[in-house]
Amino acid sequence: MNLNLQWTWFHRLGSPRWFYQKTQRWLPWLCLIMLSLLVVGLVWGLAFAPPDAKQGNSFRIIYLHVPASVVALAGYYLMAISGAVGLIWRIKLSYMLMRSAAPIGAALTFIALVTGAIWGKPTWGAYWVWDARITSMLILLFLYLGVMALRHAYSSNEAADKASAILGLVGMVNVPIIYKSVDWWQTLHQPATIKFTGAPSMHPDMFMPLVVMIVGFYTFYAVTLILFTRIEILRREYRASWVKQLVENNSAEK
Amino acid sequence: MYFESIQQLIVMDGHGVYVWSAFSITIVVMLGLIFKPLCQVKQEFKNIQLHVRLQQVNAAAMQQKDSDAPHS
Amino acid sequence: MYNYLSGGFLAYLNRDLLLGIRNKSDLIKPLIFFLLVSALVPLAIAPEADRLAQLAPGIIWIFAVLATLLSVERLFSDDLQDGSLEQMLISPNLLILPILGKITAHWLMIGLPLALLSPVIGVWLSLPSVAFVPMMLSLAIGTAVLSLIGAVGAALTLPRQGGVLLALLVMPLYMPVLIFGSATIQSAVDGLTWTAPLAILAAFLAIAIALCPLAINVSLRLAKNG
Repeated sequence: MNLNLQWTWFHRLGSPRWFYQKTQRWLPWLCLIMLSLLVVGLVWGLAFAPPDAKQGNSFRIIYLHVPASVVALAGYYLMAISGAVGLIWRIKLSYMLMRSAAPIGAALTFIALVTGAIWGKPTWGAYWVWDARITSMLILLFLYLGVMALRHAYSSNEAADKASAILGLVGMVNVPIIYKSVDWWQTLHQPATIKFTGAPSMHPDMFMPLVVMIVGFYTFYAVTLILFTRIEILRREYRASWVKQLVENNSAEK
Repeated sequence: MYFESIQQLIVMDGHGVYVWSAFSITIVVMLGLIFKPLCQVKQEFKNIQLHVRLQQVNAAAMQQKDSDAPHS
Repeated sequence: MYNYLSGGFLAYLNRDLLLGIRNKSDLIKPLIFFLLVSALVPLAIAPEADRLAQLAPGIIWIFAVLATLLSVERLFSDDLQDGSLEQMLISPNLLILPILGKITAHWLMIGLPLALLSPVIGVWLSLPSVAFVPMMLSLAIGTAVLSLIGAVGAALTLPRQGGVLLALLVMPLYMPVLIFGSATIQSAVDGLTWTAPLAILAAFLAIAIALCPLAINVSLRLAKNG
């Protein structure tokens, strides 16, 4: 009995209606935080931070590249875990989150790849280098595209959700293995010219804007995930009375 | 500001092309991610409204049929 | 009695092997593919022994991956069409052992012959003879991992019968096997210890044997309904 009481919050969290109504109130604040963080981070990073001693001004691309890659990778785990939550507790909302996370993650991975390639040109002299990080991001993009494509193989939403969740879990086991393998493969073949100084040696003046941008990208992720999930809720719950009520009220306001 | 003028900020010692193209691509993709669902909301609302109206019409037709039945 | 003891492992192994032997063309197709594309390499690049030997470790592994990908598509789809998959899924038990039986049969018919055939390609591509044993061992272990991962993809894409979707799902997951497989051959060519990458391949195999059948079990039940 006691146990049931403790878990009610968890199941309320899984209610699409609760999510839709709560996020309605959260969204303006989240957008405000996102905009201020991104604007401050970008202006700071692009105009005020000192340039890197070796890479010059092109190093400023990391204020886009690193946050996008970090959030894209974290997004894969979020997608896989929400799929697992859906499989275990049969919560509808977590499947909707999983489905929404795939295109956002793919887009962020795309940003990471493109900015990485542009950064590579002045730094390494080539748009594409088979660097461990870039290669892992490319594989991550394929993993995201696979999850997105698998959905169309199934005619029922329910089966498609479960299949995507399984694929997400298989991918989650594999992501660290892939990452480590690519890393090892890279050290095996590394040409001497490709060396890049990592974050620990970064000066605080350069590092602080990066932290602001990473937090900004996370809030951006939260905002887009909420927006995509709200669409998904409307699509799947169109028979629910609260959705009909919502639509009626909306049209009455106009 | 690190740069002395806006001109310098744009050129960035010759690296401006790379920095600003990366910047603009990122912004375009991010704006797309924000606006895609915002556009879809309107479409979804229209679809649901259509669905509700269809249901009402169907229900009315069924009622009409039921009330017609005893007379015939 | 022995079927009961092995939990269906031997029954499904026997059945799939028999089906494979009766229907020889399906068995031979991936092997022919493996040989044919390898014969194209010297024609496309150059018949110089040095250059071919340099490319050989990678090329052999890429073709092995493609050959298993070609064959794994049929692993469950034939069973779905003739209804025997339904029969298998009726059982309330976890289907781990029957699934492992089917995958073992697939490996015995595709992966193992590929490994045994690979010296031919090694000779064609002028691979140094020290690398032959590592190549065969890495192919034998690696293709077992490829079969297991490929079977997950085949089970997930069963409603659409594989195709490009299967390749998209499975290729990223094949990457680590490809890296360590070709690294085994490469290290042997370079005179380094080739047992280290081989041991990692074996570790992949252990993980795949433990986890893949679970994922296949769930997705087969989905595919039947979806």
